Amino acid sequence: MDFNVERNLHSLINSTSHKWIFVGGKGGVGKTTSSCSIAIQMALAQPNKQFLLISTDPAHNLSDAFGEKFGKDARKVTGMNNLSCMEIDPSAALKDMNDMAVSQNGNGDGDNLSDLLQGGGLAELTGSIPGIDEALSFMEVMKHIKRQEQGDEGENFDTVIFDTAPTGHTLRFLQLPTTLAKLLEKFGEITGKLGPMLNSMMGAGNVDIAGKLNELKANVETIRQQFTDPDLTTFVCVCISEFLSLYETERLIQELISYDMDVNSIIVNQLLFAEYDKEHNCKRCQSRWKMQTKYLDQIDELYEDFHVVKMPLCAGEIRGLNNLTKFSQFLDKEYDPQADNHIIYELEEKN
Amino acid sequence: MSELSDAEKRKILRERRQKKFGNGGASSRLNKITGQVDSNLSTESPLDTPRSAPIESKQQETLIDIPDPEIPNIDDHIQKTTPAAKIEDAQLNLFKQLADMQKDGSSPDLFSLLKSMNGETGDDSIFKNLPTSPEDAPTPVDTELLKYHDYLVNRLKAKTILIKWMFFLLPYLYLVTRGGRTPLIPVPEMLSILLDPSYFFMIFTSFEMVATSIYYQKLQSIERNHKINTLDNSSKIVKLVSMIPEGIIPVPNLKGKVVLALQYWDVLSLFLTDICFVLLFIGIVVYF
Repeated sequence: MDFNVERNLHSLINSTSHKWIFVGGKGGVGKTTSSCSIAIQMALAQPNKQFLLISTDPAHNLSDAFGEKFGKDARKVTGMNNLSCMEIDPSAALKDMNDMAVSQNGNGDGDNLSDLLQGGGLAELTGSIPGIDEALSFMEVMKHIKRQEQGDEGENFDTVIFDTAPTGHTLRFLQLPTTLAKLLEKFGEITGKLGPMLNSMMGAGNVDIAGKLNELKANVETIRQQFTDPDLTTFVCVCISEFLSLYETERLIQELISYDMDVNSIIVNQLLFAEYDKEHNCKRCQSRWKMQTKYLDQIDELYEDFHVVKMPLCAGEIRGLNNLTKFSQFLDKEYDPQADNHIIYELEEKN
Repeated sequence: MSELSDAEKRKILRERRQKKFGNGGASSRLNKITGQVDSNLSTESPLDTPRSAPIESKQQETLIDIPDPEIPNIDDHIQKTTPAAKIEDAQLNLFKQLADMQKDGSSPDLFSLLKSMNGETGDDSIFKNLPTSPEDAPTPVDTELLKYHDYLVNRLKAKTILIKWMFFLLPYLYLVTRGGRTPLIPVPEMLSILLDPSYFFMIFTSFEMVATSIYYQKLQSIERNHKINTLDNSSKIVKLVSMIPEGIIPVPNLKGKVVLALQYWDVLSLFLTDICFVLLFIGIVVYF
């Protein structure tokens, strides 16, 4: 059976089943622009559904991309009533946890632990732990799953789009459910066997360790199942038509497949389409486009079963909702270098 | 034929992709990318490397078949009997025993566990297998490895004796008793002086010294390989002596002294065995 794979993200944009969409790739290839574009297109295509765009990159760009400030709590994008954004801030989240610990520990009883916590000690101690951003992002995912299970209407999102950190961070984040599941399983075995002893030790504090662990294990398992379900989760790779980016994209795809994650879309950004642009066809653009074409041919050959979307390099920065909306239309409908050429210069005028 | 739904299309594409990445396809894709620019980047695919390698290797270790039950694979045994592996075994035993106690309905509370740790319950002590500290605890030796070690040591001893008897003592004694006059073993003229019976004891003792040195070198190499001190682990006398607490008898380092004495006895016994063989052979020669 043979059929052509659409060279756009139309099916994803109109998908009603996907709950989690990850957008990732090498640093500087346009992940944030792509994730914002996908989120905007989905929100426009499905006005009755709520979408959340989360940045898990420690160096957040969402606020800059939309030109408005987002924080650790989901906030609607101005001009869109079904798209919210949030930037997970490890230091702010840890400060919250620190404050919570202080309030639980009693107010000003003067012991050393309280003094340490009141000085933001917990946040300082844990903030420097490698992988804390990924862990906090993961906690956020767990929170959303819990809310969805509890049917909390006020905070419910139908689809969550992740603007991820560069590849290494993202892979660590995606590995977390499997790693945690294994860890909890091992821990569960030990607590199962040492249960009575632990209960004896923890009896005075009324801490049900086994119960807490089982709850966490169930949540992690739910996430793992959802992340490996191709109807619920997919990964969109973003790259540019250059060797290192192509190499990293291929490795990323292979890693994702090894995690049983679905990946079927690749956005190739920053293409010059120089031969169609007679007006601005300088020598440098020509030679660069020649190089891009070489890798594009390889991409076409390697990823014939993927939705490969070719996006143009715009004359200016793609910032603000209007520019993003204009640019994002090429995700739904393929960019035509001849017919749509003027749009990349329109963006420039707006900046 | 009806039009395919989006879900069906997605499924078919997914299967196609998996097929392309499977069966070594992943590495060849990376080769294709790096080959175009002659890059030195790795082309080893994460899909071609096992994901849970540590667990699998552990399973493999336990599944290794010993080719010959008489002569077990020594490398495996050495790996299995490292102190770390033993500590792990002891911990596993602890968990197993705890699980068994739970199954019996006799949930161990902290108090009984602490009592067990102190060894108050004798044989029931679940912590008795746990070494107190890696430095203090004697290096535990697997019984199977010990058996194999003993087998090798005994084989070495037997081979040494056999080689000594068959390839030196027997021909030498034959020549000495015949006064060097035999058509069976031609002796060069310059060596015939060595067959003089008055030189016998000197040659015999020199040979014994060389042979014993070679034997002990071989023995030490076996002990090094297995990390087993033969006398410490095999000798009943040493085991009994090591049970005597230090300070009870007014002899410091009693065990060390006993081990040294046994080593001397071992050398002497080899020498005595050969002397016996010589006397027996001379007796037979004299008789016939």
